[in-house]
Amino acid sequence: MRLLGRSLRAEHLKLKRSLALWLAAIAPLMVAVIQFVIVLDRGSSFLDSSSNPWTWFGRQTIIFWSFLMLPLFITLETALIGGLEHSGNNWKHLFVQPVPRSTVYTAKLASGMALIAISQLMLFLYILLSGWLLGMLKPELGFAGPLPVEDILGYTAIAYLSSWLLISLHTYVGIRWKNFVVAMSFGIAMTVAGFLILNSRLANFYPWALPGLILNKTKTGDPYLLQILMGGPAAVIPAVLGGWDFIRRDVL
Amino acid sequence: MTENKDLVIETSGLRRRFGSLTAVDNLNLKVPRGNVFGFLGPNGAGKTTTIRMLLGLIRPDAGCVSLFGSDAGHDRGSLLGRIGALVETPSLYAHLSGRENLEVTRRLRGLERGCIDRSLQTIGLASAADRRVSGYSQGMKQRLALGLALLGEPELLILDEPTNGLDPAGIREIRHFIRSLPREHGITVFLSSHLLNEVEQVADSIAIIRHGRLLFQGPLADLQARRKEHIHVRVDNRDKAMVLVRGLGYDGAAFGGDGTVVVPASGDREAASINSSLVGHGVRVYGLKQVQPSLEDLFLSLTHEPQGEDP
Repeated sequence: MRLLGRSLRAEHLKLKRSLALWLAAIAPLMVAVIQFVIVLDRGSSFLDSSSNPWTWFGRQTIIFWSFLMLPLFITLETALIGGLEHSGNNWKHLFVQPVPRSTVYTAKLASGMALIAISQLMLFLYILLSGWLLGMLKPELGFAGPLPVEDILGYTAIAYLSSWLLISLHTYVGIRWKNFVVAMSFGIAMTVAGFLILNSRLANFYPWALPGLILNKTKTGDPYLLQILMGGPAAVIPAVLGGWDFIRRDVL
Repeated sequence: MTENKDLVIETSGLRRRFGSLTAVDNLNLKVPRGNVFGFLGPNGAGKTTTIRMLLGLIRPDAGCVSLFGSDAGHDRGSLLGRIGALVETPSLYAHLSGRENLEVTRRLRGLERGCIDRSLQTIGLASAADRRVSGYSQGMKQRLALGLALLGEPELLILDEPTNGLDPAGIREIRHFIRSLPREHGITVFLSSHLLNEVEQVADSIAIIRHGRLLFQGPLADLQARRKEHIHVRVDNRDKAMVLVRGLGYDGAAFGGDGTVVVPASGDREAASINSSLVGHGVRVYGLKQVQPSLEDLFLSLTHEPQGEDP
């Protein structure tokens, strides 16, 4: 644990001023701004007076984020985390420090988890900010009513939990291949394939579709326990396999 | 392997293949404590592969590495804590400052904060410490990488071609610095290079490898003692001259290039007696030259392919 602490503190410093850290704030902002503009423009056609607009708006923004942005964002962030070491040929320096490779891998995985967590929290804050602005600009939408913080925070947590498998898979890809293009192409191809099979039963078992699918099930009321178990705790499997390969690999 | 506390690095039967190429073959290195040890060989001789095996970056196919008298396969973490290494190109985070780069390694090694300022002083980068590394010159990057390797004053410093990319002034500075490490800090330095003259001026002991095999290992003075003087005699009839000098007891005489006979002899007296013997037997002597091979010549003759040998 002492060594993991050291590794995590080192990773933390490496992220300073990095693009990866900035993107954790910018990517959710893009989604929030688009959603804000749509609701500002045509909000009255989506919202009915019977339900709380906050719940609808919060959930819809998180669904939008989870379907379209999250898989690509995870691809990008993990590729950038790997790229921190690839670009300066830093693996060899990292591996001659008195820290086991398994700890290095764990710290890398934790960096990815932390960056995605930050982006989710930022999205949560942007939702509150957008709703508040919408309430000021368009009082008729009803945002002045009670704010269901727990509901929105719950959807945020579900979106995060259902993306662990993706973070784990892409951390391995981002670290394993030196070429940034490999990681990006892989992520884009898998995400696009996810759009195509979204309406088939396969989507229930497809990691790149899981976050959006699970969030959608919160709306339709379908059970999603199995999918949450796959998207979340099953992340341990690629983490262990990826870490095992990482430990054994020759560093040339 | 016999464990020897006075040897900081000891390898026995170290071997590594890449496909059909044997990069390192049955290598037995012995690096004494408190030495600057020069690890010499032409490019592609297996130096970097050896260094990577010493540090555990790649696995040997056979043989083992012992560091500080204990098996490097066990408890690698604590052994690496006693070693600083700079392998080939500097490993740096370009978006961080020089100080932050040192700080990353300080955190990983769990060292006290003061070591960063000391390191910056030592490598002469104190004034540029807070600039981003992306704006550093090649020489500054190399010095920062050296500072990373030295952080926390390791007992053993492993440097792979540390003067690559440095200008002559920088090379001299680094050389002077390396020379001072054993004396002032008790650090053993293992230094690889493809240039003899670079190692010659700093090393106490050297090892020379070619095609992954050890050609020489020992104190630099032993290599110097191998430099034998020769007398080159240019004559009209080499065969006759050869018979004559062999008759004088120079069994090691050989044909040289350009119509010469090369006689393992030295000094004016021997030169004169060879000359008079040849002339007395009717051989015309066109020229006679006493030659002292440089260490460079010896190194090249050890590491270059003799003509006709399989590559």
